[in-house]
Amino acid sequence: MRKLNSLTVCVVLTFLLGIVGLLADQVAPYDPLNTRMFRGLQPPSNVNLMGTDQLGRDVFSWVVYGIRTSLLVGLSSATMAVALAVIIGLLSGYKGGIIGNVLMRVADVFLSIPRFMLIIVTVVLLSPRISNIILVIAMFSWPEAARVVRSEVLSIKEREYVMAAKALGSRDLDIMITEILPNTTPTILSLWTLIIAEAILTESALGFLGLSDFNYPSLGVMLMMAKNAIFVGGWWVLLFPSITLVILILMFNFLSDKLIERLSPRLG
Amino acid sequence: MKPLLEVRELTVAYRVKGAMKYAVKDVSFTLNEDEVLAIVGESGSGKSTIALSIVGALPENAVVVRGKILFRGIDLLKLRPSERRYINGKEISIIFQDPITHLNPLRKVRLIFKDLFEDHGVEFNIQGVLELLRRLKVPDPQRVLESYPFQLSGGMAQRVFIALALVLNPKLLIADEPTSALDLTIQAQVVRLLREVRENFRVSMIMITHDIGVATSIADRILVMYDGGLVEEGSPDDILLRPKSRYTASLVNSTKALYKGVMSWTY
Repeated sequence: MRKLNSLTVCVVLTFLLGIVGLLADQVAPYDPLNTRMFRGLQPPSNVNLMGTDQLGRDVFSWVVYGIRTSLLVGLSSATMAVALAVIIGLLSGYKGGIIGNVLMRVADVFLSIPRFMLIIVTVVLLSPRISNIILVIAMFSWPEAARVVRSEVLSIKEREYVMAAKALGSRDLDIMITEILPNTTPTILSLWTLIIAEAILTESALGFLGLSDFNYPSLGVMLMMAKNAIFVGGWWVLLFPSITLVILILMFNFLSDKLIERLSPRLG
Repeated sequence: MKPLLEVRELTVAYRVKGAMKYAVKDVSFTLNEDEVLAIVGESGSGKSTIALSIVGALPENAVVVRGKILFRGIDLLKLRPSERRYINGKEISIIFQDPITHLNPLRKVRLIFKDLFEDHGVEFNIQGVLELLRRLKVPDPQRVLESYPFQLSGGMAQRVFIALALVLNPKLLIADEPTSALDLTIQAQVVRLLREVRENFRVSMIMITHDIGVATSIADRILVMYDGGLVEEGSPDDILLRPKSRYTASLVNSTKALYKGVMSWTY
């Protein structure tokens, strides 16, 4: 039997979950927000695949919509964070100087304050709408990424082809865009997937603490329900959302690892 | 003869752990139009530093302590980077020791040429590039243009790089150890090619090498450097047959010993 390629498995899983998230309306049998008074805490059955929570909400539907929310928050906040990180990392790595140093000190300040606490406070201040959650997570995710991009840029700009481009009269902007940026792609892609995983985790943690958008069911909210349900035997309320969350996060972490292995010429 | 490039009392130092290490000390020389000048010296004698100061691509820890580099009367060291980049690649070009690592591995050769044209605001003329590659004896230039740098052999990559350096008709071509990374037969080909370049293209050349054989076979005049300073200047015959300084004599003798006394260089 052919050995299964873990990158392929990850990519296939990502696509499957992506489709589930996209088609959440079709996949979910019930409206996840629908509460039914006398059908609370039903064990998994034909009617409710993953049972119901205390309020009678269908856990399976909730999980399906939760995947959508997780992917939405993960993808958009990671994309924003990485875009910002790339610009800042390139500028401060290649140009250096005062601007570069100031940008990096700002990143240091962000990195030195406990991130999660700041995120909670900011989300509370801005009200927990989905757009705010995405923005805030992006705002607190770029510094790490910017540091990594910067260190990559610092090493690439010493390469001989960058020096040659300069010697043949390339503009700084062109050097950054055509010589350096393409050569950081493996790092950027791997960072991106890693930050997606982090953002998904953060979003769930916010949901667990009650800071989630009402219209976007969060896996964390169901885990908050599970906190009480577990004491009256409702194991399904805990088990299914947490497994989903673990799969989501693990998948993106793996993807990050495998991508850099595959794309980086030094390791390949 | 009109001087094309004048280097006056150039002194360059590298900042290494807070201390200043002088790589080039008070070096002055002149290059006339249509002349080929060779700078010879052992590793660490500062010859590549001179090349990089002329094209303005010194590493960040290098400092030009004093001196002037006059190109057609303009001091290159006083130009702002935005002004200088119009001279680099268009008026003054450079080729390097290892052509493959000096080309961006993620861009096809065609795009590398295109970038160069665009950087200098010249319309991309692919026919001209093909023609030039043919003149530089690149077989199947169409295919070469669609290759990535790492797909080319060392000799082929050096030809491509020479084409890149010549495509905008520079007045001055600096060759920084262009043959050192190539094996002997390819070395001979490249030296022959550079000799043809000097005959066919109206371009002055500064050839930087540690190989006296390469230098004498191509240059009109040779500068000998040692430890950042200029030791001697003279025609190839003077250097080979009538060296004035002891360092030059020992340099020539060591090469002679290597070639077992063969004085007629086979390039």
